[in-house]
Amino acid sequence: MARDEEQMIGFDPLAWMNEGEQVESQVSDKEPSADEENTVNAEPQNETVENNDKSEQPEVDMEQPMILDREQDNEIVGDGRVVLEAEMNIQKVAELHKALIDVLEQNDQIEINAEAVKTIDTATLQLLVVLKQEAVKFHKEVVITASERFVDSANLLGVGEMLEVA
Amino acid sequence: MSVNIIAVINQKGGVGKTTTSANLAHALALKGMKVTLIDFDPQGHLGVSFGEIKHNAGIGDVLLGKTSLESVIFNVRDNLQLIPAGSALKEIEQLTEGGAQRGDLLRKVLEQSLQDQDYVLIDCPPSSGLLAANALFATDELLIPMSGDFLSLQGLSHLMGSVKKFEKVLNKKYTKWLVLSRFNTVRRLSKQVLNILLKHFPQQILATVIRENDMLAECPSFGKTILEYRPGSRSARDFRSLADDFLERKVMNGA
Repeated sequence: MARDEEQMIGFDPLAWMNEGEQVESQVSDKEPSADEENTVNAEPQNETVENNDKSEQPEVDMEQPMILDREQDNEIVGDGRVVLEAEMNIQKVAELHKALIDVLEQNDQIEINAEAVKTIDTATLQLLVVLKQEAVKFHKEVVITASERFVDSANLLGVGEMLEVA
Repeated sequence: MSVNIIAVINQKGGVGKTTTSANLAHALALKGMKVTLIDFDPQGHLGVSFGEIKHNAGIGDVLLGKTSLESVIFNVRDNLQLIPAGSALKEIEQLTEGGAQRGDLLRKVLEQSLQDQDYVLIDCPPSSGLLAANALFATDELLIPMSGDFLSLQGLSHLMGSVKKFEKVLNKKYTKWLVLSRFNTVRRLSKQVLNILLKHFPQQILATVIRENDMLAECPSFGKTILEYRPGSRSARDFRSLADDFLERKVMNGA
């Protein structure tokens, strides 16, 4: 995607504030609709779709360094494993998104270790839902081992079954 | 009339929290307001800004129950009181006992105190730990200094994440005011930062911009505010104007 030469800010770190209000209003729904997923977390989802097209790969590296140039140890990636840290929130979604893309491309079986998770927000959960959906398309398997808080949060949002942690 | 307690807060360092606290408080005091400043940063730089470097005891000792609030209130200028950080304040961040009560220490201390004051400004540390939590428990109003760079936006994003959590848990809505601080008005990036802020915080950005100026960095070393160090300077005018905005709730119009 061409970058606006006049634009000196790569992304708006406050964009989630508006999105968050939409998420809160939708939390009570048992099953998030396709529309909801697109509305609430449109940016990472769009990137997921784009980035699974291997021809787009070089652009991913150019687009994301500003987001990813911090706290690289939040998720440990290796041998198809991604370890989530205790507090997962929207500020970390971009970083997690990148980690998930990498692991999805390089492995047929992916393990998300969420056993340490104490708090998790809707943005992160929805990203994991998208991961599950994308994995199915590519005939890959995603297994999530989850803490009790993770399971409670997933069930509260109505995605426990989709994530297979309910 | 009850006292207005306001947290000057931003988890990012270097955005001008202490500079804003010291100079805005002094400007308000010069306008006749009765103001108390609480130095809630263990570094104690707010005290230094007023030339108060000799105090060992401070708000940390009060929160730990070692002394009374009254014993650590110092008159630093006409109408202006300072409660220094004190050497014990850093111990608060290390508290491991007391559960949720650890976050409620400052609110309890201020509950029935300083009732003769118009404003209490809490100069918060650049962190999101227990001290910041105490400040958020104690107040319903936030003053958020913002510089005109990208990382400042990122810091604000983290702060708003914390604020939203507190709003949910405490079942209250904070009144939020943003102050553009250390601002380079001719830089294109600063203008773009401002546009983003106007989009997310309409009618919440105080109208006066505090422009970047070396004098603001110089005056703490003399134990003076800018209103004493260079009262005729552009920065002194900025802070007098900011004090008017603060009192009149005068904000920028949207982009």
